[in-house]
Amino acid sequence: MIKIENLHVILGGFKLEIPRLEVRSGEYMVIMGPSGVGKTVLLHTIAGFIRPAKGRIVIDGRDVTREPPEKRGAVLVPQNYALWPHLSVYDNIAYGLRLRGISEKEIMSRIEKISEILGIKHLLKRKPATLSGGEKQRVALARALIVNPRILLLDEPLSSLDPGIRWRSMEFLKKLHKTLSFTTIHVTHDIIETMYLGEKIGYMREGVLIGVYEPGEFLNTEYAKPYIEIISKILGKKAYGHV
Amino acid sequence: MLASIEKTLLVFAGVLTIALFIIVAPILSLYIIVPPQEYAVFFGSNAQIFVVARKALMTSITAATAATLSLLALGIPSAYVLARAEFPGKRVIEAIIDIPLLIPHIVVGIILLLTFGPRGPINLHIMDTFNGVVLAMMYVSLPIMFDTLKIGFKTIDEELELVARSLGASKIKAFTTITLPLIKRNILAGSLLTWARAMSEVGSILIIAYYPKTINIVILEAFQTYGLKYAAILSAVLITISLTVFIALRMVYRE
Repeated sequence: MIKIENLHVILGGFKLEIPRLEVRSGEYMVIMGPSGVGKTVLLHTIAGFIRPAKGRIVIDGRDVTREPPEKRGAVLVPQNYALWPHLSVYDNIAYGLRLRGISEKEIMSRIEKISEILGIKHLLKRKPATLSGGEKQRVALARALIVNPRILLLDEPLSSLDPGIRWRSMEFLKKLHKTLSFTTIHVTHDIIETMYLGEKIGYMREGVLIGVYEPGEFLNTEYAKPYIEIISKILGKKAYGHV
Repeated sequence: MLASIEKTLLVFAGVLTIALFIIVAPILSLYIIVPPQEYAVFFGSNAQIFVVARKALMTSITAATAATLSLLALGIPSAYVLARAEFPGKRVIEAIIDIPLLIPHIVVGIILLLTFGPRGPINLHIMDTFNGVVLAMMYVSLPIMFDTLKIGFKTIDEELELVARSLGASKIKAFTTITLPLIKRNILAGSLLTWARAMSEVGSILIIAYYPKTINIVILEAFQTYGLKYAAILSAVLITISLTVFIALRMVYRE
């Protein structure tokens, strides 16, 4: 579980403000907002790469606001997945476990298990440069999930994929979450991703987290309105009764 | 349209050929002038000049290697800071690092001697010492090493390090396991160019440390005392060694 209270980040002329944000254990939180609104800054602050001007970040009951990134257990999956090109897929995934001093035998069996779940068993010997976008995403997820993160930070995890793969990937993420029930903050500018994946939905505008909603509740907010109008127009009818 | 483009390319290729000729012709003629059996003379002869030259060659190689390793140790942290951090005065510092490229090498010798010589404010015992040779070599090749490393660090996406940190790696661990291996090519290229630059240094060494003699100094002496013939033999040996190192590292670099 992660709790953020009254968080203020100042980066040059940019200000991020998160009055309050709570993600329960096993919950899939999606934070939506237009590009440049500070979603990546938020994830980087939670991960510990950016020091907040004020406020608190509490992960599993421990105040980590002043702790270095490596002690937080908040694992980042960046938009471009950031797989290490000099390491094989296997060594990419093994990295976090090796840091923890886990034996190679144990690492092998854990990698076998997670690569089975993620369907990447056949990729383990390959180098990241030879993988497709979808494959890279799965490897990045395996690398993050294998260390059992306290919180998984997904930065626009679907936006660098081709449209066709994107839908399948979205479904895949949902299934994966059902299987492993990791605690997640997923940030995106995409309403469909938000509605499909979010168990809770946060909305950000101009650097401020405006509110956190249940999915049904979010659809009724003014923030969802423009998107829903477009979708309704595409469908040629009022697909949603409340528009 | 296409034909005219190709014509332009043809002319450019002609220009390239001229440039290549200017580089290669002197090396080839050296190899033609110096017959292969002369190399045996260099390595086997007990004549004073060859004994001195062999020792000088070793001095050059060890000093250039020491200068390269020292610059690597200085360059890796410095270049990393310059590539990653933004701070006031950074442009000025970057300009300062390139200064050695602008100063004539004889002048480099003089200012080093004035500063770190026996009568300078900081006496580093560089006058006619091995350390003097290394310092002169370091001074003139520092920009090459620093700039090559900096370019390397700049090409590495910072998120590659951030992911490692979030997975539990300390800053230094992420640096040594992710960042450094990823700039391996720049480390190799920077070391190669630095080493080559150090090996060829003579101007500042003439001023600071005539002794222990380096190979370039001996070639200069041979030329002045015995004429072109002996200088040519020494030159051919030096070029062969430098080319061998160059080609060997290029091959590693390609993999």
